[in-house]
Order: sequence, then C-alpha cells, then structure tokens
Amino acid sequence: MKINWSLMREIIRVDRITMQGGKGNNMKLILIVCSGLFGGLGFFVSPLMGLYLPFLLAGFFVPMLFQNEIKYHSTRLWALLPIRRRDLVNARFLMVYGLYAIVSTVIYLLMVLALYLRPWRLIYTGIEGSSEGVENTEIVSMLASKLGLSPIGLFNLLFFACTALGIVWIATSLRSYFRDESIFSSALQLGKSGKRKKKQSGSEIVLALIIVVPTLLWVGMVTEILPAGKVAAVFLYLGMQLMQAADGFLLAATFLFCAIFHALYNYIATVLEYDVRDL
Amino acid sequence: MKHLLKKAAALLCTGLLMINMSLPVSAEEEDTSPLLPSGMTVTEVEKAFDDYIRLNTGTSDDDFMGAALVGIFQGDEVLFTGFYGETDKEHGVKADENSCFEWGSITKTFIWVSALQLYEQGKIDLNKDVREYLPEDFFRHLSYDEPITMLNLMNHNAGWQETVKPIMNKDASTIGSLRDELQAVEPAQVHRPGEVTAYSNYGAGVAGYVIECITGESFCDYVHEHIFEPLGMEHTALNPTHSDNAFVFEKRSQMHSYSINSMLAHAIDKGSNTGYVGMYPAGAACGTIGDMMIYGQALVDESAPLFEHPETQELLFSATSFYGGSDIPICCHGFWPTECSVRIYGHTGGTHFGQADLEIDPVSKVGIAVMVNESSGNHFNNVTAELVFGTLDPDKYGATTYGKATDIKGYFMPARSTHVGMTRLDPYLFAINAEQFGADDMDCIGSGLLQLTQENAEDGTRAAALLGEIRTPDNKLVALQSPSNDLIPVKAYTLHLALLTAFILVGVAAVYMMLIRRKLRKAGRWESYAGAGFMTIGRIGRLLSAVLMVATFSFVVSGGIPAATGAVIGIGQMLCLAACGIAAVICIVSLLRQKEKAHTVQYLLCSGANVITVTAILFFEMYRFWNV
Repeated sequence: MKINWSLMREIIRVDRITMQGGKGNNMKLILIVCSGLFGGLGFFVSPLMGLYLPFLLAGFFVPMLFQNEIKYHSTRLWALLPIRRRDLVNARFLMVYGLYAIVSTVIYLLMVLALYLRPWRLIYTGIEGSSEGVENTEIVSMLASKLGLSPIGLFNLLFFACTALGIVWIATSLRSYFRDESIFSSALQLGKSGKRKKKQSGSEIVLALIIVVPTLLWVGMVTEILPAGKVAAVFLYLGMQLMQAADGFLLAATFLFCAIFHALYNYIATVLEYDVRDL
Repeated sequence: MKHLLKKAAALLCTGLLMINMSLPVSAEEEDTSPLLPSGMTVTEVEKAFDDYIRLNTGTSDDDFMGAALVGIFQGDEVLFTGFYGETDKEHGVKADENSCFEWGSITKTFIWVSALQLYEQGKIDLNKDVREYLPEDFFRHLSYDEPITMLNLMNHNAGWQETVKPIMNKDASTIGSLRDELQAVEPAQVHRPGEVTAYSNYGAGVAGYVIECITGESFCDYVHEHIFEPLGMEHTALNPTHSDNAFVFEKRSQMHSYSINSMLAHAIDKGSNTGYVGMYPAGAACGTIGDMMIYGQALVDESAPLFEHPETQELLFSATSFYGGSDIPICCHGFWPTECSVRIYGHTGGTHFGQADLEIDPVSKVGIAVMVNESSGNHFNNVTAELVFGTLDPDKYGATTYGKATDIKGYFMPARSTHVGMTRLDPYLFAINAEQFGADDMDCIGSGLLQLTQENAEDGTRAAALLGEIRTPDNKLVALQSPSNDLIPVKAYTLHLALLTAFILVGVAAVYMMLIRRKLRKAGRWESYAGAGFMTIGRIGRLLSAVLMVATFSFVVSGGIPAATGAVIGIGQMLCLAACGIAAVICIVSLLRQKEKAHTVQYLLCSGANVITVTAILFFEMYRFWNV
C-alpha cells in the first residue's frame, strides 16, 4: 500500500483550516479548561492527577478537531474531491495520533518536571498544620514501594497506561466518526431540533465496556460469585512481575502494544467501511 | 489519768493498725509469674496476646478473624493457655481446650522423631541411600545417581522440585495407599542431592514411607504406638481423614476455617473441610492444643520419653546443615532452629484451613504452641514466638562485620518451585529483586553468614535475621540460604520475562490479525498470497498456546495439574509448537521466494511472531507433562 505523503500533508492542512474556522468553538474551550484544570492540578498539586489528562483528552480529540466539519456538514465535500477515501482516513489517523503524541509528551514532561520541582511546596508552605507538601511524594513513594517500583517507575507506568487507553479511545472514536459523524452532533449539541440522537456511538459503547466489564468482573471476584479469580491470577501475577521488572517499562510496553494493535485493527476497519460508505 | 493513757494507747494502736492495713492497698502488686527467654513475664505476655487480639481483630488481610489457641509451657508445667475467638462463627462456638486444629507441616516432626527412634535401635542408617529401604524402582525419574539419604530428606535438600500434580484429594474415597499417593505425584529431581535446600512435602512423605518399609506397619499406626500412646496424646489424629481418632474426627468436622475478604470487610467461612492430604506424613495431623503441648514438653524433657537414650534427643537437636561455612545451624534433623534471644527449635505448619507453630528452647525448657484457623494473613503465630523468645540481637553474631554484601544483585527465585516442565514459568512470576529483600543492606559477618538488621522506628530497638551464602570455589554465588528454602539467582531474568511477555503479546496480536483478515474477507478485499493459509494456522497456534499457558497457571493456582489434564495441555502445546514452527518456516521461504516484495512486512512479522512462540514454548517447556 503506497502512501502519498504530499497528499497527506495537504489533507492535514485543509483540516487545520477547517478546525480553526467558525464561531462558537465550544469544544476548544472545554479542552482548554480541562487541560488547565487537570494540568494545573497535576503541576501544582499532584503529578498523579495530571496523568489522567491523556486519557481524558482522548475523548475530546475527535469531536473537538472535527466539530466544524460536523457543524457545516462538510464531510460530503470529500466525496467530490479527487482523493481516495483511504487517503483521507490515513491523513486523519496520522494527524490525530500525531497531535495526541505531542500533547501526551508535553503533559508527561510537565508532570516529570512537577515531580522533581515539587511546586506544591509553595502552596502548602504557610498553611497552618501542613507539612511541606511532603504527603504527595510520600504517597507516591509508599505506593511505589508496595508495588516494587521506584516513584518515577510508578509514574511512568500510570502515564503509559492512560496513554494506551487514550490510543484505544481515539481509534474507536475515529472509526465511529467515519462511520457516521452525526453521532457526535449530540455531544456537541449541534442538532437543529435540539434533540439528542439516540444512536450510540461506537466509542461510547467501547468506553462503557471498558469501564463496566472490568468492574463487573472485579465485583464478581470480590463477592466470589465468579470463579474468575484463578484465571485472572495469571494475569495478575504476570502483571505484577512485569510491573517490577525494568521498573515498570515492560508492563507499560505491554499496554502500548495492545493499544497499538487495537488502533491498527480500527484503522483497517475504518478504511474498509469508509470506502463503501454512501456519502 | 490511767483511763486517759489507755484511751491514748488504744487510739495509737488503732492508728498503727489502720496504717499497716492500708499499706498493701497502696503498694504495687508484684508480678511473680515466670520469666520467659524474651525477658517478659508470662503475665506480660498474656496481656500482650490479649492486646494483639483486641487491636487486630478486624477485616484487613492481616487481621485476626477466626480462632486461635496458644499454650506456653516450661518443662512439664503449663504456664498459660489461651483460647480466642470462635471456631464456628455462625453458631457461636468458642475455641476451647477441646477444639481440634490442623497441625500442618508440624506433622513432619513425627517422621523425624520416628527416624531417630529407629536410628537408636539400629534399624536405619541416616547416611544410607533410602532406596535400600524402599521397594525397587520406587523412584521413577531421578536425574542424579547420588544417594538420597534420610539426612537429605530431613534437610529438604534431596533435590526435588515442588510437586506439579495436586497433593490434596477432594474426595476421601480416592485416597490410596501412601506408596500410591507418593508415586502419583513424584516430582522431577532438579538439583543434585545436598546442593540446594528446597522444602519438599514429597521428600517428607518419602521419609514417612521409609518408616513404613522398615517397621512393616503403616506410618499412622507406628506414630500412634510410639509417640501418641507413650505420651498420652489422646486427642490427635494422623491419617488423611482423621478417622484414627473418633474425638478428633468429630471435633474437626465441627471446626470452620476462615479467611478475610478485605474488600467486603467480612470473614469468608471456608467450611469445615475441603481436602485430604494423601501423603499424610507431610501434614495431616490434627488435634488439640493440649496434645501439641504434651508433645513439645516431651521434646524438652531431659529424660527423653520418646527415646531409649537421652543422647538421641540431643542428637535430634544437633545440626545437620549450617549457614554458609559457619557453625550456626540452619536445620537440625528436620527441626528448624530460629535465632531469637535464645536459639529455639521447632516447626511451623500451614494448610488450607489453618496455621500452627511449635517452638521450644531446650535450655530453658520453655515452649510455645500456637494454632489458628486462618490459612493466610493473621500473623498471630509469628507474634507469639517473638513475645516468648524475643528477637536476635544484631550484636550476637554481627558485632564484627566485613562490610555490606554488595555483590548480591539481580533477581532470585525460590528453590521451592517448579524448574522443569510445563510450570517452569511459575518461578519467573514470583522472582524477587535482591533490593526487595534488602540485599544491599545486608552485613557480611564472615564464614558465608549474612545478617539483615532492622531498626524499629518507634522505639529504636534493633532485630536481626540471618541468611547464608553458598558459593563456588571461585566465589560465584550459587544460592542464598534461608531456613527451608534457598534463593537461587536467575540469570538474564528480564530477558526471560520479556520472552514470556512477547509470547503473550503475539497471541494477542494473532487475535487482531485474524479479525483484520476476517474484515478484509467480508469487504471482498482479501487477496490470497503464498503462505497465507499457514500464517493463519500459525496465528491460531499462537493464540491457543497462550490460552493453554493461562490454563496451566490456573491449575497451578488451584493446587496442581492432574495427570490427564497435564497430558492434554502438553499435547496441545506440542501441536501449537508444530503449527507455529511450520508457519515460521513457510513465511521465511515465501519471503525469499516472493518476486514483488509486496508482502515482505507480513512475512517478516508473522515469522518473527511464530519464532517467539516457538522459543517460548521450548524454553519454558510448556509441552512437557512427563517426569515433572
């Protein structure tokens, strides 16, 4: 499969122009507030809070980046342009994941900086009865030692786990978008009638499954209704050993590997589905 | 005047009497209870027990939830017995002197005592190969020609790995003879006899069978005749179903064991019995705390009621293996010495239904017996021994040190594990980093002896624990010695773990690749190419192999892999090995033969993934279900 890189660049440039146009870019505001809140909390209070940002932002990426296209129904324009649909899919996957990689890297570096500079000491100092914000690093150190990791190892592991979840979420969102962009209308409240679309997006279903299924399994094991404990034990022990070996990087690599394959599957499915979609 | 003087005298006497009578009330009551080796009195220890139970009764994993029995004796005098909690929470049955708890591995001490009894009668040579006492071809797959002696069995260094097959019978009717039970679970011999200590229930079971072969009677009957009856232990049973003692049989069936569900903050009632130990000399004894104390008292009795000569009892507690090259014993004829403020000898026990501990100090003749009905967590039996016997003073052996043990690095796996066969991956999941057990903080105190010192942050008191090192003549570390279970260094652990991880991940990747292929076929976009079919077979093989590996480990967690199940899994892994191997070869051949290089990436990735699976199956012996 040959990739036309110059065409990729053009499509990405068009998308960037589309993204910046239009009034009432409410998703951008939400993104900024969210980033500011969690990023700020992460930097000034606890880096562990900032680790959730890659996961949270992944949910906003697709609707945020393409909200103008949705709003002005310009998805059909692509059917008129002399490009292969596959090229559009390639370009968008490339763009979204490229942006996500940049954002995640920036967040990671900021949180690592916060971990070393400990700016929360500036906040806690002077508050009666408090220590120098030592509790933050103490909690991280305690948690890390219980898991057999260094504090930075625990931090890396959590970050890569959230990033992997974000990769999965983006892949599912993009596939849903290419299948039917109108499902994001309700999220953006762009429908004229004001009624929310009842059809669930694939990403919502996947997100629900990601949260509900492990929770049900956990509840089932804890209450001993499900005999899944013994099967889960191998993953638990393997996970624990991976966590401790190479200071968490092996487990982090495992998460990323699974996420990348999930993204690959969704990419190929998207190409196939969008190719035959009637625009 | 006289009348006045009499009145004054009466007043004075009354005043004096009142003062004298009030003195005992205001003075402190003296604690006259006996002093224990820890420096605490029995009264203080009793209070400490009460405080521990009161403060630790709760719902977290380490808390006390069930029942506990504890007895302290000195010589033939019982200093204290305590009964805590309930043996049946639902019916409110409190623990008492009639409660029958499981002894667990303390049962093994009956084997060692029996062996010394036969030794003093000249019926056994402790240094002779036990095969001379056993039926011919009893062992079916030993790896080394070196003799296995009774001392090897006592020291748990005969070289056997942990059993793979289950040692617990769920159904009493399936329990066979001791010989049959032992032969059904014979594990592989992975170390040369005498080289490494790896606690072995199987080895102890074999020792029990040796007693049977020499005496011509069942081990249970022998112990009843030569230990229980002479000592008057009327409330202890030994056979797997406890049917050799009607009292114990009845009481044990009423005793429930518990574990903690800390998530839901309640005790899980595990019922009264869920398994039977087929090789029963290793751990099937059950009885009252009173009987355990009688047994312990006999072991500290200078008249040695269990033996014909007191010297035999002294021999029982003489060292059979040492820490490194030092003269500090690590094993004494099957009894494990522990360095506290004094040196104590004893054995712990643990089953799925409870834990127990019996420790004695032959010098002061103080001993303690503890039993709880929780299988894990609940450190009551650890706390009790420390309260009675104290802790090791770091300066006792470590007054002079030769610096820190700086060359103990990397990962270590317990010798008591499975090192060959389809469960070979098991120790890789439990390996520990040297830093985790404080290797970089250990002091070298000479002669292969290491000491780990810990300081209590609250009161500044220090306590120490000993380890030993076994090294080759060129100073290469072979193992770290700890009582009953050496730690063996693992070379290239991270690489092996990465291989195991990659094995699982290529299985996951196979699922996605098959989903992608299915998607392409449904969309009519699938173009068949050379080797595609074999690549699919390879993917199925990778996925199936990963599933079988998970199944293997699930059985291990459940208590063992039955022989038939192991065979099915092993044959399945062989088929996966063949499928992945063929797929890898086909991919490489197709890669080399292809003209247009259109599928180079697919061929490379697929062959690489199959090679990883083949390597993992071969390295971790996932196919091997025989001689394990």
